[in-house]
Amino acid sequence: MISSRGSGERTSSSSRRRFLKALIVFSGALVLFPLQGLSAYLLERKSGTTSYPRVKVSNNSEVPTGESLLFTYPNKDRSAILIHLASGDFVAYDAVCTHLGCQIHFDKKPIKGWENQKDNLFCACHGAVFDPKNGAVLGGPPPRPMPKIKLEIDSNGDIYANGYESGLPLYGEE
Amino acid sequence: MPRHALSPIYCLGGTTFLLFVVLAVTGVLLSMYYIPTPESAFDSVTAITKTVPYGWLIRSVHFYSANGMLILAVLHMLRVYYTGSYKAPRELNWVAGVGLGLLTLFAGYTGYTLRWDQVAVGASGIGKGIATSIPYLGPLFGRALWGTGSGDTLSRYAGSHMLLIPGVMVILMAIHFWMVKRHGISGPL
Repeated sequence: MISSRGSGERTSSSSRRRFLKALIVFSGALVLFPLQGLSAYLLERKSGTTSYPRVKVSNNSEVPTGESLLFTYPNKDRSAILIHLASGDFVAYDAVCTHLGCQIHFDKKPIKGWENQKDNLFCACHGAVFDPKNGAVLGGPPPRPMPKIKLEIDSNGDIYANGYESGLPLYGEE
Repeated sequence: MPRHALSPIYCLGGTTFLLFVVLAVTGVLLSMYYIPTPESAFDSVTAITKTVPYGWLIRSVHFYSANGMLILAVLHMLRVYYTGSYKAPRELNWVAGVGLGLLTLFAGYTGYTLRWDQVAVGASGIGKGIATSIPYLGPLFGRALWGTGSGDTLSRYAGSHMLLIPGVMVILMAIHFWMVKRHGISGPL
């Protein structure tokens, strides 16, 4: 820098001022940018209804009368149970106990104290018993029935799960 | 600013206050959706977390800031004790600080019950039990703070959490900061 000190200072201070101005505008924009997104908190609201996928569970030839099948629905982390009732109907439930979230089993061997009630849904944790016909609580501590999964059976006998008929919200997703 | 006070442990009170401001802002935002009735409280909290855009974020920031504020307040208290900053002429500011600490605890407790789930209902019962166990004045405290029914209790918790406790805290903080300014920072060890 050979130029005179005075003029050099003037240009550097005016460019510094310009730089600071640009910095303030830039940082202001950086602050306001996420705020514009966050304003959705007050202005928009998603609908409370969740949609569930239509998923193939099994084929009616694969589950004989009186048997059951554990599958996962609506995602691979959530267990559900398909039951072929003695009446010939297929029913399916969310297999997470509505009491404290243990796995529910369809057991043909009755548990102690329920010997006269065969073919019930049992939860081993605290001895809950559910009715396989409608998911109602027959005994034990659960506060509400098992969520019932809507089933659709096509002409090939393929069974599809498509949402829930009753019993929502799911345990753990209240 | 004396040189010995240029240390992170002298920032603990200020960061506690910063979190109080964060809690005030996020708390106002949460109150836009929260409904303090026994029937709707839990559902409205669920709605904030699940259906309101960024509701989960606002609620999380409020929750973690509340925990952070308690931790920082305790650390700030330890710093004041360790550096002897409670000694004359700052005794009264120590008293104001203890008041603020207790109010922070009460704010945490009342906020915890606002969800009004099973845990919160249980916690409100425990709190009532503790308050009513105070000799002579206990039953009076219990009735005044918890009301006569479940609806009363939640309303009083909500009112305390959102208006009464923060209001008193703001006044005490103003006194606290004014006294810090007046006394200056305590000397080096």
